[in-house]
Amino acid sequence: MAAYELTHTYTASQIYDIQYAQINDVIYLAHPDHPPRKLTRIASNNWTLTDVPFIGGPFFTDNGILSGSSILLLTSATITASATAGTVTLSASANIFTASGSTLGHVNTFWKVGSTVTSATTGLDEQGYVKITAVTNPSTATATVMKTLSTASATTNWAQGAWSYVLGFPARTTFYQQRLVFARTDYQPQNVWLSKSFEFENFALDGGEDDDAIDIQLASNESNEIKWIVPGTNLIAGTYGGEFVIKSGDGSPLTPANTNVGKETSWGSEAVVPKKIGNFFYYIQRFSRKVRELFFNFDLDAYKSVDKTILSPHIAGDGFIDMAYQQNPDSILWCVTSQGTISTMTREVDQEVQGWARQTTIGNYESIVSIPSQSEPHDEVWVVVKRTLGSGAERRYIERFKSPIVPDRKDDCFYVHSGLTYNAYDETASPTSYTISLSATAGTTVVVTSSGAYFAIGDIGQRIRAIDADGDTVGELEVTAFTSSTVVVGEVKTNFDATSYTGGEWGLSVSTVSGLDHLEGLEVVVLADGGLDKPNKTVSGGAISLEYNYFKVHAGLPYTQKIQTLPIEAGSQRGTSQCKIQKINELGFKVNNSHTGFYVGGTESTLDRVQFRNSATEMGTPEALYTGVIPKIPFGDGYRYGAQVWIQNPDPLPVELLSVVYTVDTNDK
Amino acid sequence: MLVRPYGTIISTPGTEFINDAKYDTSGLSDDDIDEDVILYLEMEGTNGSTTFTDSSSYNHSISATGGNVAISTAQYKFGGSSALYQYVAVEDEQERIYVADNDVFDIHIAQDRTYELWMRWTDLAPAGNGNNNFYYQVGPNSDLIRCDADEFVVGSVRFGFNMTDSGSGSGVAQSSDLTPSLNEWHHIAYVKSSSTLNIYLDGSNIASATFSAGFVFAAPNSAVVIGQRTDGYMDSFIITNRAKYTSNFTPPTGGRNYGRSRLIPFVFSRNDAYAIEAGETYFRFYTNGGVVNA
Repeated sequence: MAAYELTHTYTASQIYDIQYAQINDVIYLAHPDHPPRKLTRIASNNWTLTDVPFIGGPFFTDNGILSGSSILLLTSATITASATAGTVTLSASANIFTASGSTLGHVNTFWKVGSTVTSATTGLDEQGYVKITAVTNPSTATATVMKTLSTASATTNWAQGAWSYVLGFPARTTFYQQRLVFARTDYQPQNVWLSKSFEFENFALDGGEDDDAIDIQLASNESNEIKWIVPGTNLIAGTYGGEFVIKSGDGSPLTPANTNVGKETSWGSEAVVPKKIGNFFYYIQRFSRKVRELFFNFDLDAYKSVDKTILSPHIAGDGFIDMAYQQNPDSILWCVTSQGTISTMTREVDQEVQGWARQTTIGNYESIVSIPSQSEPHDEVWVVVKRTLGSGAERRYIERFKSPIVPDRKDDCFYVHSGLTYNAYDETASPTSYTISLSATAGTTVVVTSSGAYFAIGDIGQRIRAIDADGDTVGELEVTAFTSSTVVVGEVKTNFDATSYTGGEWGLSVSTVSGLDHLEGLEVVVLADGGLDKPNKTVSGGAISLEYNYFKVHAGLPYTQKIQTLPIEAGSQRGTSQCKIQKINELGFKVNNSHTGFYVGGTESTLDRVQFRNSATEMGTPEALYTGVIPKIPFGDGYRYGAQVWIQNPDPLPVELLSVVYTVDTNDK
Repeated sequence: MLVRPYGTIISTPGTEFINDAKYDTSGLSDDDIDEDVILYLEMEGTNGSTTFTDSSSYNHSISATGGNVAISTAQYKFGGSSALYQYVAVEDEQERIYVADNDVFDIHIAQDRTYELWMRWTDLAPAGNGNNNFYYQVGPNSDLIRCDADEFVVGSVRFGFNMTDSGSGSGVAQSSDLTPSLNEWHHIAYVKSSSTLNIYLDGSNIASATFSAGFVFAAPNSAVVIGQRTDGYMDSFIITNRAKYTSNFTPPTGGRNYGRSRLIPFVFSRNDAYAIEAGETYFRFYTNGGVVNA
């Protein structure tokens, strides 16, 4: 079945410039070259994309028209409407209308004509305006009156719509205090427009009532375009030259009459919408190399912006281009860099915890989002990754990070990239459930009968295993003979605890895995039944052949987990150990639920595998994940200034380091 | 690795492959979509349509004759359709695609070129007249460019690649008699690299030849014929002004990326949370670990 798709007209180069704001089942999309649109979910596989059917406003500067790339104010130019209501002809004393061509020009734009009119119904002042339906020539247009005009005579009180194919469209959007907010067009780069309260698609200014739309220009010494706009206690706008706060002067909700704008900080921003962690905003500073934390500081009675990359300036590479915030299970800000890596910042403000790490892959991360998982209690991180196949062909994949919570079972560990899983037990459960019955629980010629056609002659040599609810083995046999697609014979290796198992309680092992076409020609690492199936395999024809037969196989691109400690400051008899030769003699680790076969060394080129095996582990089975102390690891490093510990794990298994303890000699001379 | 809020360091989990971001239908890679591509018939359209379009930057004028070559959605290698050729005995102009002549199709000895297509035969030699001209262009001066698979021995075809500079010289590569399987897709590539002609079937070289002395320039000035006396499905016909293959290769398995995609979150509730893939001209929707199907 084909993926459900909805077409749009944004080009590839425009996709990353879209900003969005969601309310209920609707996402409003803003892009400077397209009218604001709304993406509406009707059902999972039924979405619509339409231009926002604005009811009115906003309007450009009075009497302003575009001449070339400049704005002219034709203060003496008049517009005469043929009537104050209905379909009218607008006659201008100057060439002010732009006809349809490659774009709609002024067609479908709102124009303010005349002054406000007091409504006989509401008693409120309402701005008269029209919607142009056709442009006859540069001085004549046909329009529909949307709100009754104050006059059918010539008037110099007119303004064209602020958003159009002539003047461009707003590029930023958000919601704030029950208003839809747009900001920044090409010709009004510092403007912010807020809709009427609860009327998200009405930007008419009318008489300035409290719930009327709001039109604000950020006044500053520089003309810096707004890069993003986000809602907090106040409305915050990031421009290339600084960060502005838009709020009411008296602390009450924003109205057309009480709007107060102030420039709080002057770091400047890039056009990546900030992420909010608690009451703190995280945004990318101008030039993309820094993430700053923006928050209100009571001591200063002002907003404060703190550089969160100051201790790790390298972490941004050539710059950040996208961000996502994963709240659960750990509070982590994921920042994609232009080099295709991800820099993660774990941030717990209340605990004063902050830690950066870099995520790399064989390929380039390009985009990222975080959404709640439907099946597990954490937020999922999804990415677009560009990968290069063995043939040299480039592909972009949608991939999802697994949960950082280490699974209870080692055979459920998933530490590969772009990976897929074969689960023999799932295969017997879905889409069709197969039940097997055994002629005996033990013996060398046990007959296995399936409720449906499941077996093939190639299954000879494979194993059938039954498991309990925890996934532990409760019986296993090796298939020795094929009778039919529903009957095989096997020799029991581990006695079964029953003679019948339903789908999901048993599985048939495999020695080849297919479905890896997306990694064609690439080397993959395989974790099979909790152990490594060495050596790594190269995908050919979308498949790999395994060294043995297994029930749970995870295959994907390998990646190496790396830690490098800071140079040791252990002190010495004569004060500091800085600038003195050191040597680490021995290491110890405290680990939690960890693979113990990782590597340590004094440099990246002198790593040795930690040899630690629990004596209780059965021979021929993979070592279980370990929690506890790994003591007294010899550390074959030489004397050096600023001794460090390198820890690397190339295996597709987890390591959680609680602490690293070492003994170190410092040469005090 | 990831830093955990209580100070430990834990392995970053892996990523599971969910889906390809959308890519094009042609079998071309991103690098192929450049000025080197001089003809590109994706064979995309509605079932039964006789409208074919050139997706190269040249936007050549394409026409189909006779009604026995048309878009078919029954089979395709890439995208959602291919061109179905249905041979009609005697009247062999019933199943041809014509491309208007253009100087860009002329060939100079110094110009490298690749003609490639995907073919799924339903009959190798229809009515005993297996003379599959995949590319055929000849001029009054007898200059000739031809990529074909002709029947010399009943039940098999001999792949041929012929470039003739009338009166001066030529290059002719011809394979042995081969029997590519019916009802399966085969990649066929005719490659001119410097003074050598090579033919590849499913990525394996099946014929090679060098030009005779004297070949300088062939400029056949008739309309190009794509497909003639052919029975089966043709998909992704591409002419590229360089030698794309100079040794055995794996035929392209996918297509051109649409370009960068990005993800947009949509969270209505835990059970209605989506990652929206926004690519060039399309949205796709992902939820609960998979793509939303139509």
